[in-house]
Amino acid sequence: MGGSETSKAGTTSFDGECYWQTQGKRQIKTAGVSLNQTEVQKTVKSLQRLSVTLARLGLGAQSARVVDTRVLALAQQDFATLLSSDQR
Amino acid sequence: MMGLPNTAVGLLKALRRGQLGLQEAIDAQVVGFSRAGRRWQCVTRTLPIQTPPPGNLPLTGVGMAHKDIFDLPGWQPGLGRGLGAATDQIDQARVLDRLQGAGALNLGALAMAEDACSAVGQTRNLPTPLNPRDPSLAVGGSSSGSGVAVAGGLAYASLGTDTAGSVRIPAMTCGVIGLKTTHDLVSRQGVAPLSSSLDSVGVLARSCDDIALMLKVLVEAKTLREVAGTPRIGFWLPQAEVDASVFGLVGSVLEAYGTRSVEATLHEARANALLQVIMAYETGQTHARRIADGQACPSVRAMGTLGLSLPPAWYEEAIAWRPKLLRAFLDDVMDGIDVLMVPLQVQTLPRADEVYSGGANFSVARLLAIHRFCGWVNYLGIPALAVPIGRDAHGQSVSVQLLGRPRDELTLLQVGRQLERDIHGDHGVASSVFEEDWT
Repeated sequence: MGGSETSKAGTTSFDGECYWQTQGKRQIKTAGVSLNQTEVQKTVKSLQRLSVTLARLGLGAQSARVVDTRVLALAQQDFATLLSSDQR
Repeated sequence: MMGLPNTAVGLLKALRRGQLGLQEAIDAQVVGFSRAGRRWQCVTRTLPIQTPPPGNLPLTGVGMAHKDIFDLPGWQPGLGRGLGAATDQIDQARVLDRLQGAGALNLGALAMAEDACSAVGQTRNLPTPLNPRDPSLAVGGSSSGSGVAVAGGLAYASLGTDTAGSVRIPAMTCGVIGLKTTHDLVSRQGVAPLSSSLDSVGVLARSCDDIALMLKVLVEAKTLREVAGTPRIGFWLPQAEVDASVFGLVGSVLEAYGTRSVEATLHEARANALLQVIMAYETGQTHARRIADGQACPSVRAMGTLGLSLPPAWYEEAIAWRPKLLRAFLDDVMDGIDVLMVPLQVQTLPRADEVYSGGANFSVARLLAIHRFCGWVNYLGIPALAVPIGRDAHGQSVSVQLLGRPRDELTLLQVGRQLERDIHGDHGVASSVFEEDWT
C-alpha cells in the first residue's frame, strides 16, 4: 500500500494500479470530463507501457520520471487542466 | 454492374472501342451501386449523376465512391458518426475535384469506422458493412466501406485514408488492392484529420493498373519518381510474428519474389512506438472538445485520453526523430533494393465475432493482429501497397505489403502488377459481381 504514498510524493516508483486500489472504487468527475476508474487505469497502464517501450528502444531517457507527473495529473487534478493550453 | 469489365482500364478500353456506350455504362454502374450498396450495407449517401462527362478524359465514365471523410459541395461528411449534413461550406475536397475533372463519376459516400479511428468497420450509429467475400468475416477499418465497395463491385475504385493501416486493412480483409501513398503526396485539403502527421489519402481498387491511373490524376506526374529499370526486391520475414495459418503462403511468396533477405526489426519497433505517441497526441488534439463533451466514440476517447495525458515533450521528440529514423531505414534496410516485401497479414482473416466489440468470441489478440505491421509505415511516411497473394488453408484471402522509398509509388505498382498477374490473371482481382471476360 506504500505505492500510494510514494506516488503522492512524485517518485518514480509510482504504481498506478496500486494507487487506485487504495483509493477504492470511485469515478473521477471534473468540470468537463468524467473518467471512470477503469479508464484511468487503462490510461495509466498505456502511459507506463509506452514509457518502458520508449526507454527500451533508446527513445526516451526521461520518460519514466515524466510519466509520473502526468499520471499524478490524471489522478489528482481536474482533467480540464490537461486540456488547457498552458499544459500543451 | 453486371456486364461491365472488371477493371477501369478494361472499361475505358471498351468505351473507346465502342463496345459500350457511355450512357449505358453509367446507367449500369448507377444501378449496380444502388443494388450492391443495399446488400453490403456500405453506402451512406448516394449522389446523383447529372451531366455525363466529356468522352475524352482519362477517367471518363469510371464509377468511383469514397470514404465518407471527404468534403462534398454543400455537404459535410458523416465520418462514420452519421449520414452527414448540409452546410454552407461549398467546396469539395481537392482530390474529388481532380477526379471529377478527369471524368470520374462519384457515385456516393461510403461507410467508415467512426472518426477513422479503428482497425475494424464496426459502427455505433450506422449499419456495419458486410464483407462480400464472406459475410461472417470482419471488415477491416477504417476505410471499411471502400474495401467492401471495391470487393462487392459497387465501384471501380475508392479513395480512403490511412493513418495506421486504414487503407491496407480493409483491402486485406476484403481481398483487394490498396495503396497508402507517401505522406503529403496527395492533397488532404477537405479531408477530415485524425492525426495529420500520419494521415495519407489512399486508393483501393481491383487492379494495380487502375490505381496507377487514379494516382496520375490525383497528383502531378512530376511529383512521382519514375520507375528506373527492373525493381530490385528485398524481403523482411519476421518468422516469430507470422502465424502458421498464413506463414507458408506469405513466406513462399516473399522468397519467390524477393532476391535478398533483410533485417528491419529494430526499425519497425522504434517507428511503431513513436507512431503511438504521435497518433495518440494528435488524436487528443483533434478531438479534445468531443472527448470533453462526452461525444467521442470509444476508440477516439481511449486514444485521445492517452494523447491528452502524454507529456508534450514526448510528442516533440517523436516528431524530431522522424527524419533521422527514415534516413536510417533507407540507408540500412533499403540499401540496394527498391521494393521491400513484408507481411501485412499475420493470421488468417478474423471473423466479425472475433474482433467486433461485444462479439461472442472477441479476442484482443485477434484484433491487434489485424494491424500488426501497419503503423510503422505511417511513421516513416513511406508508400505501401497491399496485395492479395492467394488463399490460406481456411480458404481465406492472404495479403502482403510492398514498401518503397518516398514518392516511389509507381515502382510499387509495377511489382504489384506482376504479383497480381501471376496470381489473379490479367483482369485484376475478382469482385463478387464482375464475371465477363472483355478481352
